[in-house]
Amino acid sequence: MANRVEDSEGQRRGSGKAKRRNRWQGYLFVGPALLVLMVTSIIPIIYVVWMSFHRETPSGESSFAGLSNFRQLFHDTLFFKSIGNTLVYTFASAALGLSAALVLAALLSRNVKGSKWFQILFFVPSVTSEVVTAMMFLWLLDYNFGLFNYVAEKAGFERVQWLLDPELAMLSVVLVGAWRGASYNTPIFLSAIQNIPGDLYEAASIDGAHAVQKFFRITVPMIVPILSYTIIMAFIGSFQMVAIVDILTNGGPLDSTMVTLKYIWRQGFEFNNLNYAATLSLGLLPILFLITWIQMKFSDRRAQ
Amino acid sequence: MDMKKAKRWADGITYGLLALALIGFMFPFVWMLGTAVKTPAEAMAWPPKLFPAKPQFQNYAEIFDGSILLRSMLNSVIVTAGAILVNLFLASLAAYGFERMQFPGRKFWFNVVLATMMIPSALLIIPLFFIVKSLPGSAFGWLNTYQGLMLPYAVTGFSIFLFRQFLLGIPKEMDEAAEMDGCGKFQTYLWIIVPMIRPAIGLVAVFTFLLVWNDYLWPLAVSRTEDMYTAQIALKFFQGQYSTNWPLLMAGASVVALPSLVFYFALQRFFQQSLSNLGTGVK
Repeated sequence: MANRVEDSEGQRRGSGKAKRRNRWQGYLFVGPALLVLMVTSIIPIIYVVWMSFHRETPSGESSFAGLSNFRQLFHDTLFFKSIGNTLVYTFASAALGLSAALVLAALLSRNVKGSKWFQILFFVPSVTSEVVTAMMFLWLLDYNFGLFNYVAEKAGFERVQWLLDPELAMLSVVLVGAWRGASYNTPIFLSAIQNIPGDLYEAASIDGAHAVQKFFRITVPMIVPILSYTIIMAFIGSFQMVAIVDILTNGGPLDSTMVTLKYIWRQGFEFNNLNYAATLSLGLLPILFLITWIQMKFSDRRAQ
Repeated sequence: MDMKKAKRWADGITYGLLALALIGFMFPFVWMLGTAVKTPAEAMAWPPKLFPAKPQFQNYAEIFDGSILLRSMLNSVIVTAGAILVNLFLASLAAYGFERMQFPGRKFWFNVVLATMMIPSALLIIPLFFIVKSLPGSAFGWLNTYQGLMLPYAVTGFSIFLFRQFLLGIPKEMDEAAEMDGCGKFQTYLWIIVPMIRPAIGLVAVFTFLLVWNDYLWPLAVSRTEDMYTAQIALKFFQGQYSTNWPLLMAGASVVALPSLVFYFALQRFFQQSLSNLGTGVK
């Protein structure tokens, strides 16, 4: 045993060359991953800035454009409208989806028989892609043969243009977003609720509190940290949502569902203004960083 | 006695609301499956029926026959499997390097990894598209290739972070013992560390699968010809191809949804684990 330790000590002292190799050996392990992250994250974030200050000439070359892209951005009413639309979508779908998830988590935490199965099935929408989700709802919301209008008619209402009425299209998109959000956040809330110490509820029971009181007085306050986390994740997710809008409304009617990412995409790939689209991405950066910064503040507090 | 009655009531209300939610979450899927085996006339019948009298399973044959569906599913399998394998290897290797080895710049680079987790991927689509277009290979770089489709998922800051969190819980004595027995660093990683981080491997595989299989915007940008579409992109284009042939559209949608669902039900354990980790703040 003693011999062995000495051996490894001897190795460690080793020759200068071997030691130098050892010193840098870590890069063999982290290098490949760092290289990929360079190409997929670091260089793009630098490149998006570079692109914003350039424009493509008709011959396909880039020339310096100064601040002209940014000037265009500040006069781009549709860009600001798209941010407004995204915020409306975010607030509405998060409010609906998160409150539904919270109630469902509270119900599941009562652990009635078969609870586990409800839990498993509730999460299914979250593992389904946005494209498939949008396709299912496209059919349900169809004006002529969709089930929503059938039910509306049965209930004595008029048929509605769920996706073609500028007043309703955003509501439809919000409903689909909330449907996904409720599914995704239920298990997150559930485990947060299960971590609340049981004696809090027992004490409340002794004081004669009923289930609804317990929900608002104990459950809700106890999961505020997790609630803030889910709200911020909902924000970040909303700014990246595009497939649902693409398939359900294509941003219309009258740009009423034009979300920011959809607009950036349109400028870049449909109008071929890739430099301007890069500028718009950069314009989104302050908002997204603000959200991330708030999230980090919150998770710091939680860690303490 | 009164308590018992109250509990029965509470249970009844709980079941009622849960059942309602179950219908809300599941009905679109049931309706999709029902429509997928109808004739177009049955799909447009008024009043609508949940399932047709005689299911038209040939709709599925038709959707595979006359379209790019099969090819696009195969593309998705290749891209997803490739991304999972590369991500698992590179991320776990990097996490091992960061957590168990000393080298100049270690802290700096780990902070770079953490920073990449905070960059919203939506911002990167446009510049990344240009970069992929200019990578060596062809006149259009990696556009319209499998490696181009895979690149953004080949390693993520999140998976490095997750593996490292996991390594923190494994005693260093384990790999020190192995090294004393003459194992090199890479052998220690391969024979000691990898078997011990299996739960993390499952988690990263699950996350990567859902990320890649369900992604929309990146494959939409990179695949330029029909034969390189992923399943999601093919499904989006069905919307134009079959316009109001709802049974065929729903058959296509159910085929594209199936792998995620199978994956989900098969790996239940990992999903529950990862989501409850989110809930307790152990990310």
